[in-house]
Amino acid sequence: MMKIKLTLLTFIISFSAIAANTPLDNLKLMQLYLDKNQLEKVEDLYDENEEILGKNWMALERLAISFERREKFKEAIETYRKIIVNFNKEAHEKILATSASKMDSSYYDKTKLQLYYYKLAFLNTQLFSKTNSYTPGNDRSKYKKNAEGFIGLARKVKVDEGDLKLLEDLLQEKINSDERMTYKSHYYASLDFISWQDRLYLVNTSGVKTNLLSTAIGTCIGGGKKWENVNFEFDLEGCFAVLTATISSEDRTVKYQQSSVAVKGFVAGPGMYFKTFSDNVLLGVHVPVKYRQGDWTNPDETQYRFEREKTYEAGYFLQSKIKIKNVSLRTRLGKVFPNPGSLWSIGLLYDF
Amino acid sequence: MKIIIAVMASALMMNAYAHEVTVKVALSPAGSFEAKSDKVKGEVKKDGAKFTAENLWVKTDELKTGIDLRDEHFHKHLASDKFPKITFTKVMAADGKGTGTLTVDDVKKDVSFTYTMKSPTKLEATINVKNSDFKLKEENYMGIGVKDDVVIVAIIDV
Amino acid sequence: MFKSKSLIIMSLIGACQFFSPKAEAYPNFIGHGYNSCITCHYNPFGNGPINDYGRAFSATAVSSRGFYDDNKPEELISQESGFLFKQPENKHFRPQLSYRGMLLKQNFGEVKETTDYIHMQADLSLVGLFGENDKYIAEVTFGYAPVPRALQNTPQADSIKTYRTREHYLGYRPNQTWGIYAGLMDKTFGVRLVEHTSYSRTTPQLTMDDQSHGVVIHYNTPSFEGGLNAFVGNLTQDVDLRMKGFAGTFEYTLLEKNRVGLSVMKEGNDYVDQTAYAAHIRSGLDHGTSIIFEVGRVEKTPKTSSLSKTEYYSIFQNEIRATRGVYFLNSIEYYKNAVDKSYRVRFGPSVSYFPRSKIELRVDLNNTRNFSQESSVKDRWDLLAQIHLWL
Repeated sequence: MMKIKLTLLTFIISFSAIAANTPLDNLKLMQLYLDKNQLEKVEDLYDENEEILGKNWMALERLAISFERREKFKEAIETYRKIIVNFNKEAHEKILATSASKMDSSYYDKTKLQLYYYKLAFLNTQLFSKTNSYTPGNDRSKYKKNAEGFIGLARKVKVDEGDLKLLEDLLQEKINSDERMTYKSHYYASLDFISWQDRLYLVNTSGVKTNLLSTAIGTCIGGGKKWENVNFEFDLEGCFAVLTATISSEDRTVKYQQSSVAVKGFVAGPGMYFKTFSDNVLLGVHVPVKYRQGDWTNPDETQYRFEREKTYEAGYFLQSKIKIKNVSLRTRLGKVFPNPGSLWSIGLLYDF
Repeated sequence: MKIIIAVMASALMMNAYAHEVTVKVALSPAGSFEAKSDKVKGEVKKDGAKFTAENLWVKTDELKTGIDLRDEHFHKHLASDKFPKITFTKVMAADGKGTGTLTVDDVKKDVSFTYTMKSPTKLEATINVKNSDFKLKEENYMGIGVKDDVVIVAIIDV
Repeated sequence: MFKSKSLIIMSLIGACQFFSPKAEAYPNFIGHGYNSCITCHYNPFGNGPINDYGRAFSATAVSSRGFYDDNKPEELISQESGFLFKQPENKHFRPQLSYRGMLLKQNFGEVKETTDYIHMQADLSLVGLFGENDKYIAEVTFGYAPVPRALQNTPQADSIKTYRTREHYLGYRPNQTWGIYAGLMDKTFGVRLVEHTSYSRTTPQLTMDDQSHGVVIHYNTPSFEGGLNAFVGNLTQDVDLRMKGFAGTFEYTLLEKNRVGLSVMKEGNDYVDQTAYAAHIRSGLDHGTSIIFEVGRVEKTPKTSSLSKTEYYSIFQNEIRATRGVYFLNSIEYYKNAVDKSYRVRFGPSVSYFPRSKIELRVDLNNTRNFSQESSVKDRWDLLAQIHLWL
């Protein structure tokens, strides 16, 4: 009795071992793993039985689905291509060679090419949508070209138009988004109404310094170049300033006063704006270097000399810009060190 | 073996046009707001100086007024859950004028519009309609009402 | 009596810098599409208590929802915008409590820096609405108003009542187009800015204590809005001080969110006649951002002399809605006294933050520069930090 049981057991095990190696059983297992979302097992099973399963389009389909769900889009694309090349080559070549107007449904009715073309369009769209600034340009172009190509093919074989339009919208959204992130450059001209206060000193022969304060107002004409995308704007600009000033002593014991003094200057430097609030209203900062000189009158050249009569200075501004088409209204308020007062300006810019 | 992508030579139609629409609503006693969307779908065909479109549409939920609560009220007013789309069908235009059928809340109305070419590829159309034409009920929120006259401005890629 | 003769004289001599409490009008909200004050206020020209819609708009569009649970519906936030955080239970009465306080640092960063905390306003308002479509309106605002800073620590201060009414009127709106109001109100001139210290308010004397008893006729259509105001001065003032006259302001709508306007005012008392003209533009840009520009001329002629004083002012203000609840403002003002050749420019960036409904926090930095042929003086920096609470 024991011998019979042992023989029967050996027979059952051997039979099961043989049975598990058949493609159908593997297919059922792959499907079971897919249903349970055990995606790695789908791929492991395929790898172990690649020689057999690689010749079975149903296994390849399940493998592709597994890749897709795991967002291994390139692998999924490769698998669908294999299915098309190995199992639908004739129909596929016929479809490629036929124009949309002359297409006959009999070319693809008995195949699953509608599904495969849609899948390839979808997967390439996904790949394109996930590209970023580090993706090589060739890859970006390839994904976009492939996506467009398979959308066209899918359209030829009458895949649902709504589904294809969704893919096209996704592609266009990505194209628009990338376009907005790309920096574009423009030159611009500026005309500002500008005012600042300068600190100068009148130094006598004994070395005693008297603080002088000059308040100037005038115009500053210039221009610059900017680089902007949807989020930021960076610029480099300069302007030549012509102003008129009143200067007087801050020390009441020393009387020094002069009005309508001609002052000239140059203000230049880099700046940036944030465009996150709106495309038309920008806030930012500017970090300029300022040079200025003035026709201050020395009351007695034998007794006095000026200090900081001509000087280079640096500072910072907060700036805001309101854009209406090519024209912008810009305001700035800031400080140029070591002057006590602020520097402000209000002006117009024109973008070329 | 790579599949030859010869489809670039085949009938490839990228119909991803960037149409926009602005619905301008006047309030009573004063004020106004705009509901905007840049996701208007549909293809406009150009034949010389004539334009036609079978179906232009926008999802009601995609129309945004700039204030979340106002969006909620606006979408509710248009019953976006029951009628998710506003459509403009059988559109024909030439010489600065056109006609079409506007469907809002499943109510169809033949409307006329005027248009200008903003650029060789952009057309701006203005349609004047009334809320009552589409059997939309009068709305009032905390004492501020919506006027009957509504202006729709669409910028269409052609 | 809160406005003394000496105050009038000081006004004639020069610009008095009162750091006055603010009005509660936000003409910048043209950026949100609201080109008329009547949408949110009972007073058709702004200021005073806000109506139910104004409260809801303030809670759901202006104020941040940063302190609310993410899942709290906007509709509930709107409902809680009412008095004491609930929707009114009756149709007829609308109370409002309002407080404004300000920390003021004058000559900020200088040796002569001073710091004060000012309770600018603590008001109770009550609005009564009757009739079909609320066509009968009764409004009264009563509360604390500080002694004007120029009169503080002077003998006149004792005679100034610090608890009083600054607005009360009866109104009749037979339809949406016409309205007539009679009582104590702000005069209808220029853009009724939030900032009472702006030259556009101080120069024509339209600050927090310049309300007048009179009649206002309001005309409102989508393309045109106007107001005519005949007034007899504040009846609590001495008769000789009351400024009597008329004012008018008119706005025309260009392209929905753009309005151009003109204003005129002619008034006088026993001591001085004043004539003022102004033109302005209010423009709404995208997403709640706006610009306002006003330019004006005010001529003051003392009755005892033929020497008139002409003043000019202008203000440019840009409000940027950074995000819901946060606004950046940039104001540039100009004031010129035609008697001498001096003039003044004030730059004023500020940030306004509405952390949640019924709270506003604001910080202003003002840089004032005097231009004169006689001397060059240091800029003046002032720092203002304000809190506004309302129920």
